[in-house]
Amino acid sequence: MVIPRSLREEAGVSEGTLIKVAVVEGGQLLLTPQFTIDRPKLSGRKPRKTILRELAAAVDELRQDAKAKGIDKMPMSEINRAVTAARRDLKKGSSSKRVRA
Amino acid sequence: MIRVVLDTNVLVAAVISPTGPNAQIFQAIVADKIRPYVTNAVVEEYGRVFEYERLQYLDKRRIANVRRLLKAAAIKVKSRGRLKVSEHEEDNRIYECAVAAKAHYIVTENTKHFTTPYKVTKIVNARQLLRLLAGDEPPIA
Repeated sequence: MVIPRSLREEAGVSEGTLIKVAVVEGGQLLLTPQFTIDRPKLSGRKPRKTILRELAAAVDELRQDAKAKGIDKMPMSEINRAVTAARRDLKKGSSSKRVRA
Repeated sequence: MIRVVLDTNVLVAAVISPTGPNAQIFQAIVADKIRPYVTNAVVEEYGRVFEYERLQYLDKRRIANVRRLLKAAAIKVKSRGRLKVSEHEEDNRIYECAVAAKAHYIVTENTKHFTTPYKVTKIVNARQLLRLLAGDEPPIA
């Protein structure tokens, strides 16, 4: 919808503003300027690209720590032992749940 | 988008070393070429594993940061109940996540424990998935 410049300036509405249109008493149109907010900003969630970039940086930091401590060359057999130990301990707290085949 | 569930050994290998196929899988996640799925049980295991073997000496703050961001980057699904696909009971948490996610692949370096494809989910190691992503290998039947 095109609104004459003079009216836009009088109402303090810039070009491209989202406008809500409603029919009011007597068939008149009521135009109400709206604000648009990015959904991630509203929900407090960061955009996915930002999260992935931060994840890459966080993993890089952890890898540096692993290298400094000589853990970066840990063999898969040792990793699997750690996984088995973690699973064994987690199982202790969840053995009473229902099982389906 | 390819949906994957990373076995914990793949995650650990990827976050301690920048080289090797598991690190390349992580790169594919960061590049948004594949999407990881998790359940509460899987996230819990991702954290717990760093309490064992030499992994316990890694900086706790850095581990917590990676875990938090991975949780944010992954798609969280709710397990629909206990399964008994693997004879190693504890491995079934990974299958449960895969079923809830309708995952295309479970990526694991422990194919001895994960021998059985289940429903739509195939079992691959990191190398196999990389070949699939590169189009060098036909999809696993």
